[in-house]
Parts: sequence; structure tokens; C-alpha cells
Amino acid sequence: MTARALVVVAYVVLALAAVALGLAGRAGRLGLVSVTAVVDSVRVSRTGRLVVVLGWAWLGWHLLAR
Amino acid sequence: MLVRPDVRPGLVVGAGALYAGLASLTRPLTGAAAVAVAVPAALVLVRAWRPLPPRLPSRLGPPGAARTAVAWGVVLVLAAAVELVAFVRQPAYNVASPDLPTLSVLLDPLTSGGPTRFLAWFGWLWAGWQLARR
Repeated sequence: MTARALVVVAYVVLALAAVALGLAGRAGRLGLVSVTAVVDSVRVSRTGRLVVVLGWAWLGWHLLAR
Repeated sequence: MLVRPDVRPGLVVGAGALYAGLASLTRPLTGAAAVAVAVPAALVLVRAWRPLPPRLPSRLGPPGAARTAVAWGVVLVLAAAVELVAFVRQPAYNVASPDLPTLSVLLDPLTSGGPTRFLAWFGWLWAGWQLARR
């Protein structure tokens, strides 16, 4: 397997894990809660809000500007 | 300016679509695209800096929030590690490595132009709006 294929497989596995976590959280399975609930609890503090917003900003810069 | 509450969501969607339409005309790796990202990012950052009214749930969050945060943290850290390895192996900042592509390189066919670039812009702006309005 080439390095490129390994990277692609890694991204696909992580994407599937994210989807599984999202679905499990929405359904309340495995003791998980929704991402929205986690983000809301993180955003109680200013630091948490800034971290979340910086992550969002980085995603936009990474995918849309570069 | 006062806007009727029932009209506000439509205005927000319209403004977002207009901005996404204009921003999607910019090309990646240009100053215009960087500015188009920076403007809404700065607005949401300013909003995040402001203290929130005391109506949010407790810092601990609902039961299971810590476990969920750890699970998502593992996924995000692993994704960041793959991304970082791919990025540092690039021959230059703006030259992708064909052997170790970053996420943006893999998604480039979708985010570099056309309707899918508009949708990516609109989705990103929508996420930012959700962060700003809470």
C-alpha cells in the first residue's frame, strides 16, 4: 500500500468514526451525548468559545482559502 | 435597525447565501480568499470574546459530555496528526505532496470551484452563525 493510500484510508476511517460518534451521540447510545451539547458546555467559558471559534476559522481557512 | 423576528432567519440565510456566492468566486491561495475567510472569522471571534448572559448550562454539561468530549478529542487529535504529517512533508507551504495529501488537497475537487465551493462556503458560514448566535 502506498503512502497516499494509507493517508486516504486514515482520513476515511476517521470520518467514519466521526459519523459513528455523531450518530451514537444523537441516539444517546454508548453513554454519549450530541456534539451540540458538548460544544455548548465547552462554550460556557470564554476560553472554550475562543478555542471552538478558532477551530472553525482554521477549517475555513484550510478548506476555502488555501 | 429593528428587524421583525419572523423575517430575521430569512435575512440571515439570504445574507449568508450572498456572501457565500461572492466568496466562492475567489480562488484558493489568493489574498481575496484569505480576506473572505478572515472577515466572518473576525466577527465571530469578537462575538466569542464577549461575556455570555448567565443562561447556559453548567460547566460540567449533561451526563456523558466528558466521555463524548474525550471520544471526539481522540478523533480530532488523530486527524490533526495525519494532517500535520502531510503538511510538514510538503515540498513548500503552497505545494502539495502527491504522496501525503492534506485534507484540503483531497477535497480540492469539491472546494476549488463551482457549486460545491459555494455549498462549502455556505456550510462554513452557517456553522459560524450557529457559533455566534448561541
